[in-house]
Amino acid sequence: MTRITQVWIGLLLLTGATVLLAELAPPRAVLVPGALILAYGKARLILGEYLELRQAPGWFLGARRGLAGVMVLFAVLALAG
Amino acid sequence: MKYQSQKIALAYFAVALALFAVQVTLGLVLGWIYVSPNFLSEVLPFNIGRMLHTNSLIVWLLLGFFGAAYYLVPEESEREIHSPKLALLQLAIFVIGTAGVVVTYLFNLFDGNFLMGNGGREFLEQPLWVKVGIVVAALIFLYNISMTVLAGKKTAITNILLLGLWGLALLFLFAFYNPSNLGLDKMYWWYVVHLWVEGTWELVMASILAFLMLKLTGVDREVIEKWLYVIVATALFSGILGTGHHYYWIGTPGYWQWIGSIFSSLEVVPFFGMMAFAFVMVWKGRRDHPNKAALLWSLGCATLAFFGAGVWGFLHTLHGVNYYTHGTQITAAHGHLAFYGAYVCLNLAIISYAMPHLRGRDPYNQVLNMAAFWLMSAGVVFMTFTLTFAGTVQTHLQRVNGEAYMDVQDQLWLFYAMRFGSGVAVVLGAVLFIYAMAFPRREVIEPGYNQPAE
Amino acid sequence: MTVAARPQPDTLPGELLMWVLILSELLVFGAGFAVLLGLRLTDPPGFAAAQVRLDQPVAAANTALLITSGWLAARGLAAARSGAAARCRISLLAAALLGCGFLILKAHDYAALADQGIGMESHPFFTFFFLLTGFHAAHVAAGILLLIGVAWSAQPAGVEVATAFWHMVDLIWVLLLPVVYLL
Repeated sequence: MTRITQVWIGLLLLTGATVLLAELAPPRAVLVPGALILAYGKARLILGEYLELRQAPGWFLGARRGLAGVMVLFAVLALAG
Repeated sequence: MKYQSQKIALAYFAVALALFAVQVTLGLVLGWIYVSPNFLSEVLPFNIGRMLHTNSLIVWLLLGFFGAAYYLVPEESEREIHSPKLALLQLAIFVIGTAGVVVTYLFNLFDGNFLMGNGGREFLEQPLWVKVGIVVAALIFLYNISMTVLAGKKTAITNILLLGLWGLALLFLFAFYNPSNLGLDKMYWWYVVHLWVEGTWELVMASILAFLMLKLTGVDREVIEKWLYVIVATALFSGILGTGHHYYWIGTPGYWQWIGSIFSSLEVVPFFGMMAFAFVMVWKGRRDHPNKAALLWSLGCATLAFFGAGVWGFLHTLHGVNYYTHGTQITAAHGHLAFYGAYVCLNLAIISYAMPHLRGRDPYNQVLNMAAFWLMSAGVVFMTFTLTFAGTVQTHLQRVNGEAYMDVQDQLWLFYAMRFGSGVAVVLGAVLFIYAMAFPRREVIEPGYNQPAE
Repeated sequence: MTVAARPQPDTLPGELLMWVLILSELLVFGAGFAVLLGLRLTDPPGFAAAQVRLDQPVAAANTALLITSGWLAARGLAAARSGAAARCRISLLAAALLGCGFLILKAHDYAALADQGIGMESHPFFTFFFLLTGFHAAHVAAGILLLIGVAWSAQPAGVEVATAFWHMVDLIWVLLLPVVYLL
């Protein structure tokens, strides 16, 4: 199986996990970080593999940090209410 | 100067600078009207003076762009301009049209006539026949420049310049569409006004700046082109939907408040990019170009454009802020520094660079030219601060406390008096600049020698 | 500053201007998501009541469609690089086809909301829902055209630009999904 296909399966699994999480309807304190972590996982795969940022470790690290920071911001905003 | 037809630029720059003098002089008169409101109220009503101030600005900046194009396109394309005669015809049409506008407005001739009378629309108030003339002149220009570029070498600089100038001309066509619904009128009106200064003009600015950096710093063309493309991409990305920041309160749907706020916040990016570009190029550049004045204007342009257009624009672009500041002196502060930094300095930079070549001399009157830069820039910056403070006070008194407009204006007198003072400095700076360009004295600069000779 | 273990920034893969675009798009959508979540704080029950009107299964199906389409696009690029033009074309056109499927489901989504009398001005949540998903759908449509356009010549350079755009559309959607549909 090629790496491209492995990534695809990984993305599908993460999507399945997101659907499962939504179906379980846990309290917000679980739902918010859970959904955002799963989204981060998908975004990381797309950026690193499909957009090939893994070839440029410095940029990839910066992108991951920026993405993680944004996710934290979203989590804080979503949980503040 | 390698190509004879570059000489056309000289005529354009001369007319541009003459109009520049008219523009700042009228600015001074208007500044005085703010201090003493009845000044010349019969002869030159404020609205007419204001129209002349803004329209002469726009026309001279455009003439400067045309001149810049006629100067740099032969050098970039490595061939003569397609038809120098057409270029002069184009200039003549512009001069006649401008004179027509001034006479029509000053004496209110042909009032109400659809062809000859005034248009009555802010910035697009030219009588219809002048608008048609502008289109004809623009077509001549585009034909002339496009033929030159198509026949010669194509560079990123000429491509972007042409893209900007074509876009500028096509968007002007919206000036002919004047729906009777005022909300719709304003919506299309911004297609010209906003998409000029925050779209196509930025492309012209980036390409002229790139040309200046190429010549003045000697950095490789490849590096400069990369910067140019990135700047242009960010300018178009943010600027087009950034039009939304004019659609907050004119009757357009509420979602424009968010589109405008988000996209126009990003409009800072291309201006920051241009500032970073100019300084990085100078820092990396190996060439010690004798024309220090042109370099000073270029760096001043990028810096003041970033502050005037970028920072001062962002200051009141979020709709929550704009709800209070809309149409106060904050807008005037932003308008003055943005136009000065982005487009006045740009034109004066290319004029400072081109004039010595056009007139076949070494860079002359560097001291006067640079003094003009500092005097004019200090004047405009001080003006920006006085208007910003005036606008802040005005916003609070008028929009928060709800005091009447004219009562508030009375209380702003001190700021207007200080603004008039800064206006005097700007006019003196402009006169000094024109003098330094027009009346060369014998002043020889050794290439590579840092201090200008006396 | 801790400079010690930081790897040097290296050359970006692909077209520089594409990365400028991707970053700009992420900034715009990111700002939109942050404002949506921020506005939600002013009226949590109203936002929750608005959000339950959305069709989450359709959103999940659309995620699967886009992800699979991204996989096909990536395969198309690999094929273009190895010179297999026919395989490249099939992959890219299949990716574009799934993109059309996404748009059809999206249109169904909008129609269902319209049937309930919900429009852009119904609630601040829906203003953002329609702005963000509509803007994203416009990118999907543009991406479909790009994919079809580069499938024609199947040259690696063009395919790289189009598939990068397509992955960006994918990336935005996976970030949009939790913020708009779940939180």
